[in-house]
Amino acid sequence: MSSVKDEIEKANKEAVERMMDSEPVWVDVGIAREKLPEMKDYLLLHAGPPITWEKASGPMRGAILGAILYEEWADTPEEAEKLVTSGQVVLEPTHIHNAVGPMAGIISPRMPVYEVYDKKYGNKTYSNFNEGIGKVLRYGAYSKEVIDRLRWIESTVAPILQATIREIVKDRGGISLKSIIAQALQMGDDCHNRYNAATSLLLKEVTPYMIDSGFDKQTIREVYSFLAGNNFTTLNLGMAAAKAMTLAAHKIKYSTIVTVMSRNGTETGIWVSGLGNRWFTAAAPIPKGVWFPGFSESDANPDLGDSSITETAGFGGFAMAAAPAIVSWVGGTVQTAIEITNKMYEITYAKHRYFQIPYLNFQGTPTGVDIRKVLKTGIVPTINTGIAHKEAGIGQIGAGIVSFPFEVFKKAFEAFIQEYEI
Amino acid sequence: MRYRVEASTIGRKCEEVLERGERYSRVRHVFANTLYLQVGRDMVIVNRKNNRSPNTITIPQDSLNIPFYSYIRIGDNVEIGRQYIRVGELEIGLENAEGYFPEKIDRIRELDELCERMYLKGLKTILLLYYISTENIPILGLSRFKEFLNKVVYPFSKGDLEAIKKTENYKMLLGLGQGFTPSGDDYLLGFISFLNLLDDRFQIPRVILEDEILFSNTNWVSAMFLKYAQNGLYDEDVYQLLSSISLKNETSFMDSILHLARRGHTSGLDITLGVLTGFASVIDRVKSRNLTERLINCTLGSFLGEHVENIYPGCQRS
Repeated sequence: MSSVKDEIEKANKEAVERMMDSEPVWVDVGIAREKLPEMKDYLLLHAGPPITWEKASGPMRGAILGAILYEEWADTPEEAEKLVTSGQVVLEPTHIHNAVGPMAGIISPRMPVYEVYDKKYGNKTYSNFNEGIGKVLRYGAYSKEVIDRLRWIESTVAPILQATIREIVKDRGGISLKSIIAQALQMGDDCHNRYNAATSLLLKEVTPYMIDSGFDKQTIREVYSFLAGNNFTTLNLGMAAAKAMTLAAHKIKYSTIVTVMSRNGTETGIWVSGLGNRWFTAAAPIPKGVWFPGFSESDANPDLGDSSITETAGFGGFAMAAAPAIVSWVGGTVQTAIEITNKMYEITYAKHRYFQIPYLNFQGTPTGVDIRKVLKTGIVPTINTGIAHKEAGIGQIGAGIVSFPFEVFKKAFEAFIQEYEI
Repeated sequence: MRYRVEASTIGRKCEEVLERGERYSRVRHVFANTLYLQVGRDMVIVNRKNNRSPNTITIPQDSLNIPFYSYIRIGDNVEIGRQYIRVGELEIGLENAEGYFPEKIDRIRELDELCERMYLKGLKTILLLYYISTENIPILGLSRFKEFLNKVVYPFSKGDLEAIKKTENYKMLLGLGQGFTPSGDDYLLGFISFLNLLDDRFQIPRVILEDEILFSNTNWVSAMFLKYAQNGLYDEDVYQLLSSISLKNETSFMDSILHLARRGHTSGLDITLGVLTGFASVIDRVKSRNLTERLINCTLGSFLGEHVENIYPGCQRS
């Protein structure tokens, strides 16, 4: 009979191997209602652990209101709020739908979504489209300009990308996101807050097919400009890829590897592979940031978004040593970026087989947070992040660095002790 | 003198030692953030880790961010003044240092169901943290540890008081294992500290290892830690752990285990294992619960690939 020690070791090895071997491929674009199996009218998905309207932060509330207006379930923000407080509009975490969204992470039924297929393990994951930076829904802005942009994405960007990716799928099965991430990490991206290289690599692959998509030249040009003009275009695809990787590692009995790290603007929450879909939560911290002109820490909302799925999968903030230029966006020094990566090795199970950091002699990125190592060392995962204004409707006010609260790992550890006979 | 810092705290024992104005004072060990000083027959620790103890002077973590070893050497003289100490090139001002005078921990008076639950939770916690290591855990893989359990802990848990009285028995663990404070010493520190905290109603004699045994079997610093612990002087982390048992505070107990676990490679875990071994064996003496057998099962069984049936025939794996 093998010991618990052996069981945990075996489970963690399997979880992290699966995380690294997962092969996420972008295969389609569609409407959330049609793509997500459990999606239905009057259901809104949001980032992070479960949240109620009463506990939701300003930017989360703003994004919820904006999504209701976008769906045309209400004509005014006041009517929209009544729909949520009366329970007619239901809120559920993206993660239970195998989906992810940056910041507020709202996915509504008519929103277009990317579909990512894990060729190795057969899972499908989803993410919404990226709207750019500044006043955008995911940061809680819901003005007419924001809703109009979402509708333009739905009516113009999504159909072109759908036609494009379907041709690519016919031609060569889709676009390997793992390959793009691996290359981008060697070109100065971390693939969380810096996607400059990844976006160029993606556009290099999709542009010929966009040109051949049959849409008029002017529209294609507009869509191209929108995609190329936003370095976060690839963030949502990268997140869906990371979700596929971590999903492959999820629900492995005895595993102490973290498979979800996320925040809803009020609370931070994690999942642990061997503990299934149970959330372990604590209050979300406020990031240390670089502020847009006119804003400061006192304006900031506590941390928000599913984008820390990138760190969960072994890149993003964990690979900051690969992206020295990122410090101009999130703050700190190049040395800080290197130190963060080096520290993360102390709480992770493996060095990634495919994601490497040139500056660290092509060492694999720290991959697979082990809750036991967090408890043993007291070191908590550090990520980089965008920062939303605490009030609804204002949007992004900076970017920065933040650490997950120790408390969530402690709660998960105690649950693990209860769950398994040690 | 090149550097001066102000101490933030000073321990009670430290004050006593410094007031005596010992003539023989020198640096015994130097690390980046910690100094071990011999002052007469006592030990004074200087650290910037914010870990207080009765014999520690702490200085702020962010002050003088230069490793001690870059300007202090082993053997450097320690000069003790009225409001300062000078260690090599460093002067530490003591005038504004806050005193660290922890209250004496109340003796453990009863071991009820809550204590048993705390013990089990604590054991599971440290085992899971030990399990992180894929290689052999220093203490658990050692045959002398197995021998100690066999000759001391197990018989004691079954009622044999002589087992813990024979100070010779402790020699097998003293100095055992690697590390600045060897694993065997850490384990003993926990084990002895727990036993010595029991109320007289348990009728368990205090365990005091003589200086001769301590200093001839392990290094000076580790021997000093054991000597102080035998007299109820612990650093803040160990204090919290023992205090939480005495107060039967489950939350504080878990927090202190996790805090202590961060110490060294397995140093904090080894101390906790010692405490929990004492905990188990005394509960067994009082309630005949067979916790000691289970503990041995979990520890040795996991790491030596043996089950307790092979060590103690008739024992069942939990």
